[in-house]
Amino acid sequence: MTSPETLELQAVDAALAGRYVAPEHAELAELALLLRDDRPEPAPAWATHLDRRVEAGFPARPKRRFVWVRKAVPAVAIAAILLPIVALAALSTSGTDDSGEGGSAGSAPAESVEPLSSADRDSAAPALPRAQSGGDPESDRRDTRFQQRSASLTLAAPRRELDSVANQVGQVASDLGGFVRFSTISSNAGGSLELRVPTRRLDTAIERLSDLGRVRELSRQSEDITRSVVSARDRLSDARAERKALLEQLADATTVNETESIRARLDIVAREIAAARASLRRVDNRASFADVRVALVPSGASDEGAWTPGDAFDDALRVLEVVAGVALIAAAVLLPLALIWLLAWLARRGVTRRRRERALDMA
Amino acid sequence: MTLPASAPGRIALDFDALYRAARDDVFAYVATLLGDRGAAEDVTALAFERAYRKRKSFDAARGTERSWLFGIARNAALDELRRRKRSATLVTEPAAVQPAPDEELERTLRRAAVRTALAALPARDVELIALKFHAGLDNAELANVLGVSVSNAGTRLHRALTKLREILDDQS
Repeated sequence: MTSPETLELQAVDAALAGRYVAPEHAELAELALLLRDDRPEPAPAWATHLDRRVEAGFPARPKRRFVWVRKAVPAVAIAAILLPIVALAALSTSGTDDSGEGGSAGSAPAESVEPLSSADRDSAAPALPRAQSGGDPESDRRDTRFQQRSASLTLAAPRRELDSVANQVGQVASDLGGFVRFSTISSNAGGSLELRVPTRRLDTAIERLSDLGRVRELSRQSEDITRSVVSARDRLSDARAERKALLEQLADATTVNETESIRARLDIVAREIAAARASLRRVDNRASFADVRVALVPSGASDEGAWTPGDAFDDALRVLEVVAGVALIAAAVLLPLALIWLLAWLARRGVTRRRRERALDMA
Repeated sequence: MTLPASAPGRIALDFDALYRAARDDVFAYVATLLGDRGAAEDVTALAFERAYRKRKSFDAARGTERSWLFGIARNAALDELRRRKRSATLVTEPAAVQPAPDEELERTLRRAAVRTALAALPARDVELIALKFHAGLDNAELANVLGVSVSNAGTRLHRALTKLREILDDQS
């Protein structure tokens, strides 16, 4: 069943459309037509003016001065946020590269490291360890001093050659009378090896190792162990002297008790001599063999003359990592700002809508 | 000035055609609501300019071109009301009294009576009358402009017409 309200609205629509209207709604229909016919019409001059503006696509009004300054404010603000982020990312990236090469404080920069010349080797040659000779801890004479030497080397090689270079490193140690004490190598990421080579051949070892790849870093360490050597020798010498004296006392002993007492003391001195010899061997070993730590890393574009597709892929991956990092940081900064802006925009929109409706109520 | 669809679900808006079809309707609606022909001209021009600038944002899924345009015009008119901070007065320009036959004179008098009754209506009811009879919107478009349901728009319109008829009855 249709309500009177609906019937009247239908009558209005029928009247406006020029259709038949039932007699009981004739007055309403007449009112509808009166309202329609009495609508305000625009002035022809204004209509013509507006027509021209529409045809021209509503030409922009003359720009006010310094508008570009106001327009540039958001861009400047965004740049002010992003620039420090990019700078931080760049700094952190370069810092990672440096630290990733390993090395110790005081080591020579990669650029300054070149294979040593013969003159360099001569000048850097240490006093050869002379375990059999004497030495005074207080002496400044180089030929009487003992040194424990070691070196650290970072070699860069193409990723596909890392295994081969690692094998060659071991071969160098073997050729020079040394050995590989420890190694851990990954085909893709490189690794490290710890060599023991005769100290007198350390420079030769470094020279040959330097030929196996691009030397990114080289450092040498040296420690004077003359005092340890002298101390070990003195202990051995003292023990031997005591044994000699005890043997003489034993030859002169007349009683059983005296003889047994001297023999007991001789046993103790024999153990002291053994311990002193072992100590002397250890310190002699420290002086005779040098530790060489070799770090193997994949080379990048800067290490190779030729730039291979693999290098390009690595570089592209690195660029993507940096870009992703920057984007993540930027998102962390911008997302909250965007959320705040969105909430403010929604609030402003709601307030504006309420004010408009209120203006209509107050009109 | 037909624009290509910029997104799925959006159709091109023929702004020129919309302007030609709706220019006088928008003016009539705004003039009735504001009660000021000069302000109505400014607001109508502003509304069409806004519509032109925002024409890419038109979404046919959310209503017809006319209801979209009248939504913009309504906001512009309400902003004008807010700016003026004073009550809008209806167009009360006295009709020119022309010597006319009796039936024409009677019609003129009735038209004046309707104007007077319209001026006595609250602004919300005036808006409904203007949208329906001066702008020529159907009930669905009217509902879309006001942001209410079609049945609610019909109820409001009927209520406004009832008030108008009561005022006319009181006058007579």
